[in-house]
Amino acid sequence: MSLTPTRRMMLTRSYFVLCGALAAGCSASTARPVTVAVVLEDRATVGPIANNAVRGLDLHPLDVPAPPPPPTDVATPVLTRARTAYSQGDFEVCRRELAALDLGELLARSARDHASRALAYEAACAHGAQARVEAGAAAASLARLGLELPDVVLARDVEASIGEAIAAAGAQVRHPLAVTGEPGARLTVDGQPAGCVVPCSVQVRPGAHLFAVETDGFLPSHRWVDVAGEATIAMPQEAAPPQLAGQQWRARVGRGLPPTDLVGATLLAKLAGQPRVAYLHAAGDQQVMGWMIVEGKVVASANRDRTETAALLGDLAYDGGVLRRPAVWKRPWFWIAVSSVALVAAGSVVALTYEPEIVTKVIVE
Amino acid sequence: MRTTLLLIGLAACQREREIGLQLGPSDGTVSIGFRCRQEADPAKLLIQRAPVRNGKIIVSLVIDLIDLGGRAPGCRGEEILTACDPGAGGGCTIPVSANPVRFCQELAVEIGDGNPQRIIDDFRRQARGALLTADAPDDPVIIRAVTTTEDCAALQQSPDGVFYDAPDPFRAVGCAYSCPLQLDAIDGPVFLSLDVLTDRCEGAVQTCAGLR
Repeated sequence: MSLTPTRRMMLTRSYFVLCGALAAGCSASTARPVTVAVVLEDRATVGPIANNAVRGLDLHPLDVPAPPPPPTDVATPVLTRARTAYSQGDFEVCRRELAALDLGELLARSARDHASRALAYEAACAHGAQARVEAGAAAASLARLGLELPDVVLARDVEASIGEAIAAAGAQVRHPLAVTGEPGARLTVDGQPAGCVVPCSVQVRPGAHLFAVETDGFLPSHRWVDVAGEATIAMPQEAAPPQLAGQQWRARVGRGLPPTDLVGATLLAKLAGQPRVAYLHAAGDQQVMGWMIVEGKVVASANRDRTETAALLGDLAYDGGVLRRPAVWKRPWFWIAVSSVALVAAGSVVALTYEPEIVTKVIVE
Repeated sequence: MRTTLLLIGLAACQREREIGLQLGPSDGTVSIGFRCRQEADPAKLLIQRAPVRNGKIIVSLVIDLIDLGGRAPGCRGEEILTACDPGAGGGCTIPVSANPVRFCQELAVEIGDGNPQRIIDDFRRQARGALLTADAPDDPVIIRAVTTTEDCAALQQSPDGVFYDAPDPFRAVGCAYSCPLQLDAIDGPVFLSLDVLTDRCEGAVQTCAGLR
C-alpha cells in the first residue's frame, strides 16, 4: 500500500503526538501543587521566578525586610535639658525632665552612660530640691547598678553622697542567681553582658537589677528583679513575629553568619509563615546556590547555572522530599534507555549469531 | 536508491563461493579410476570399451553429489559403504531437487593413434569448465564422477521423481569419488580418486559407479 504525502504527514504527526502523550504521562504529576516560599537574593542577577516554574510547586517569592534602623536617641536631648535646668538651679524642671526617661529601657539597650548621667542628675536635682531621700535613692541606684560616675559637673555634696553609696554597694556580698529562659538567649545584667547564655547562673549584689535577654526568633525581654528575694528567675520570651524574624535573619547575615544554619533556617521559616522555604542566592559569576528548608531544617542543597533557576528549584524539591520522584519506570528516559539497551543487545545477538547463506559453485577444473 | 539498498541487503544475507573439482588426486592429473585397464585385454583402457563414432570415443560424464543423509563417515571405502548400506542403518541418495545434484555431459574423446595418455588428456580437456551446480547442498556429500556408455538423457531420468538411480555399473568405464565433505565449509579444490593400487581396477570402477 502506498501513502500519499498528506497521509504520511498525518501519520508522522500522530506518532509524535502519541510519543508526547506517553512522555507526559510518564513524567511526574502532583494532584495539588505544594506551596513553597522562595527567598531570592540577588534577584537582579538571578532573575524572577514564575509561580508555576516548577511542575508540582506553587512558588511564592518572599521579600526579606531590611534590618531595623537604630533606635532613636531620646535620652540625649532629655539629659541636655536636665543639665541646663540643673545648671540654672531649676531643680523641679530638671526632675520632671528626668522622670520621662525609662531607666530600664536605657539599661536594656546597654546605654549605661545615659543611665549613669540620668541617675547622677536625678541625685543632684533631688538634692537641690531638698528631696534628700530621693537623692540618696538615686545615688544608691547608680552604685548598685555598677554604673561609672559620669563626667558631669555636680555639687560637692552630691558627689560625696554618690561616693558614699558606691562604697556601701562595694561592701555588699554578691548572691548567686540562676536564670532560665529560651536556651541560648544572650543575657545582660544592668546593661552589661553577663558572660553567659541562658540557662546560667550569675553573681549579683542585693537590690533591684535589670535583667535582659535577647535571642533570634524571639522578642527581646527585660525586667527588674529584686535579687534579695529570689534564687532563680525566669526570663520568658515571646516568639518573634514574621517581620521581626526576617529582620533578625537579615541582621545575622549582615554579621557574616551562615544564612541557612539551624537558626537562619528557623528564622526564614518564621518569616515565610509556612513550612517550606527555598533560599537561593547567586554564587560567583555563573552559579546560583539553593537550599530547601522544611519545618525549619535544611533538607537539601544544590547549585546550578544561573539560567537554570527553575531546574535548581526542582532539584531541591525532589532532593528534599517536597516532591516525590516519579518511579523509575514512569520516567521517559528510563524507557529510552531500556529501548536503547534492548536494541543494542538485539543488534549484538544478531551480529554474533548471524550467518549469511553460503552459495557454493562447483566447477570442474 | 531503493535498488541499491536492496542489493546491499542481499549481499549482506548471502555469500558466494566457488570450488574447483579436480578429476584426479592432484592438480592437473586424472584419477586412476578413469585410466583402468580392461581385465580381458590389459593393453586397452576401460574407456576404449565405449562406442566409437567418427573416430571418437563417445562417453557420458556423469557427476553426482551423493547425499549421505546427514552422516559424515570417514574417507575409507569400507566406511563409505557402511554409511550407504541401508542394512547397516545407513543410506545414500541422489535426490532430484531444485538445485541439480546430477551433472551429465556427453564427451567425444579423440582416439588418435590409440595412445592411452592422449585419450585421457583429451577427456580431461573436454570436461574442464563444466559447472556442476550453482548452489551446492548444505549437508555432507560425496562427489562421484562416472564415465559411462549410457547416454545422458537416460541418466537424467528419475524413476520415482524423487531420487536418481546410480549409473549402470556394468556400463561404467571410469569412476572416482571424493571424501565425504560439506561443500559450504571447505576451501580450495576437491580432488577425486579411486581407492586402488593398480590400474587393473575394472571391478573397483563398477563398485564405485553402483554406489548409492
